[in-house]
Amino acid sequence: MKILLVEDENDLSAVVSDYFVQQDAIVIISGTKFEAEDALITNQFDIVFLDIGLPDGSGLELIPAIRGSQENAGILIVSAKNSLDDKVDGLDLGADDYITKPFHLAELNSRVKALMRRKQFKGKEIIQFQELSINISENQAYVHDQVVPLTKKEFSLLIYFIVNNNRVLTKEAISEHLWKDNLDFADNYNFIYTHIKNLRKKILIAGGKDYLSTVHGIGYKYTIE
Amino acid sequence: MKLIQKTNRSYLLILLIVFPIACVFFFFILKYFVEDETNEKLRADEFRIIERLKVDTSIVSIAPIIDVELSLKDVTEPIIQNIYLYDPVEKEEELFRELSSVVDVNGIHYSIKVRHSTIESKDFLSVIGLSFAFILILILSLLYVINRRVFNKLWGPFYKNLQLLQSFSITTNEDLILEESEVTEFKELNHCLVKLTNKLGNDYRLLKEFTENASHELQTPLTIILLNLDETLQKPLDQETYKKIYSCFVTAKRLSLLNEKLLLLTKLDNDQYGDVLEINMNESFQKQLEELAPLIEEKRIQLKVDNFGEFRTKMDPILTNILINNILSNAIRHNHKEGIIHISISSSNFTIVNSSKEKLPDQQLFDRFIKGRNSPDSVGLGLSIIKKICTIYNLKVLGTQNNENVTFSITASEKHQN
Repeated sequence: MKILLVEDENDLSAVVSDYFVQQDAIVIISGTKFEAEDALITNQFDIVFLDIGLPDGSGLELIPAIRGSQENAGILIVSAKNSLDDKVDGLDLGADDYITKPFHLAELNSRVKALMRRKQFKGKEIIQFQELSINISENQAYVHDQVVPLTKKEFSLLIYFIVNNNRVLTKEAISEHLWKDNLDFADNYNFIYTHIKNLRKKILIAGGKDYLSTVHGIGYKYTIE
Repeated sequence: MKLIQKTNRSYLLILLIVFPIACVFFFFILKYFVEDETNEKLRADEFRIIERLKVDTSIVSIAPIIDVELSLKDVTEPIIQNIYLYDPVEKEEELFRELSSVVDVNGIHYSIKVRHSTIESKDFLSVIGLSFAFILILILSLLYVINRRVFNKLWGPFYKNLQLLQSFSITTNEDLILEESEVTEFKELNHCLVKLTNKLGNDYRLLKEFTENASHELQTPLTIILLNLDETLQKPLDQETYKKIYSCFVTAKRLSLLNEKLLLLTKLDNDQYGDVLEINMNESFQKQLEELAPLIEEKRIQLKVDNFGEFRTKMDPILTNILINNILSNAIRHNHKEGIIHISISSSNFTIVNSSKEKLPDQQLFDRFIKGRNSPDSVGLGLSIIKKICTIYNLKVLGTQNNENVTFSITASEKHQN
């Protein structure tokens, strides 16, 4: 996986870059539009992480250039403004997804993985984790060959856990993943607890193992151990 | 009250004050001249009688206007007074002005009384009153007609501009173009208005930029803090450090949420909201309720939704979601286990009643930083956001509470209401 990180805040790009490098990705960081244009000429990327507010202009202006030179790149816009205009403009110009600061790495990872699936497998990929398999295009989860009847939120939660396995996921990050636009519910954790309880129950009934462990007072971790 | 009504009323008031005064004044002047004229006639009559007596001593009296008789009294100066006498012609008591004197004509004393019938004061008054009332009505109706004409001509551009101003929106980025008037004051007013709106537009753009910058400036550092803390949480640490890092993480998260909410409020305060679409509130509620269903089940809250009619309105879809989400979140969060939520939607109103675990002071229901005591995580801006969004879209929001329930009622106000 090759990622272009167009971001002028060094501290931010450092954390993001470290995270993806740990996943064996190649990450190139550009602090300005100019540098990014340079990187685009000589490389083919899978993912372009594009901050809108750059010192030498708006990141949105890079989208046509990316679309022109990169065949399979998924473009993820990052903005500090939760503004509909930016979102609509960005998606109109050809970006694939939009994420607002502040974001969680697990969320970013989920979006990047989803984008990769969409670009490379046209959504027909099956996510496999031990005896669990998830068919994205059919919106179905299976334990071995047994269908697990999940609600939309539970399904989304399961993918989130599997994609971000082996990582401590805070209640805050999970809540935000499930209710992006609902400012007021980001702080209601009973809510997540209910969903997780139901998800665990359904997988156990279908004959699967419970890979979710509680990190006391903080959140959850999806792991084989 | 409209300007023309106000002007007409002032005219009416002035005329009503001036006319009685004029009436009284007129009465005295008229009375004075009539009496003066009568007095002169009486003196002339007396003079003619005396002249006649000098050549002809036979006494002639014509009742009641001439009364001459021999007298033993001393000569007196003429006295003029008003008296009531029976008039055989009119066959009733009439008011007469009488001049009486005792004169010496060739050594003989005569008592002479000459009289003229005169007008009674009350007759004077009623005649004057009637005439003035007639004039008053005439003037008023003329004023009314003329005022209307002049008014429409002079104030026409003013009213057109007023309408333009009412529909003027600073967010549309369009300049205000006003109709010209020949009246200097209106010209100056137009000039000031154009200058003012241009300045406002400028300030508005600056403010908008500032708001956006503030968001950017704060959210980026917060992202860096959160990302680093999150990464640290992935490392094996001792329990105490772990707790501290998590505490920092949660606090930074709250700060970021608070920032987002304040920015939303600022945006709303500055009228920086987006597109307006036709919204069906019934559907929007349904969608949000589906999202929140697990939480409602978790608290075992009894939910009842009554759709009495379709509530349609034009709003920004994002703000609509925020509004409904805030209302419902509020109704769930401040609810107790096995409480109730009752939503009823009609074509012009939606009402949410929920049982509540605590009572807020009434006047604080909408205040910004009031936090429910039992929900320390809540930032507490929800209700002020509800109120703000309602204000923008001309929705009347009413929050009431009794010992058990909190009720929020939102009503569409009539369009183009002044």
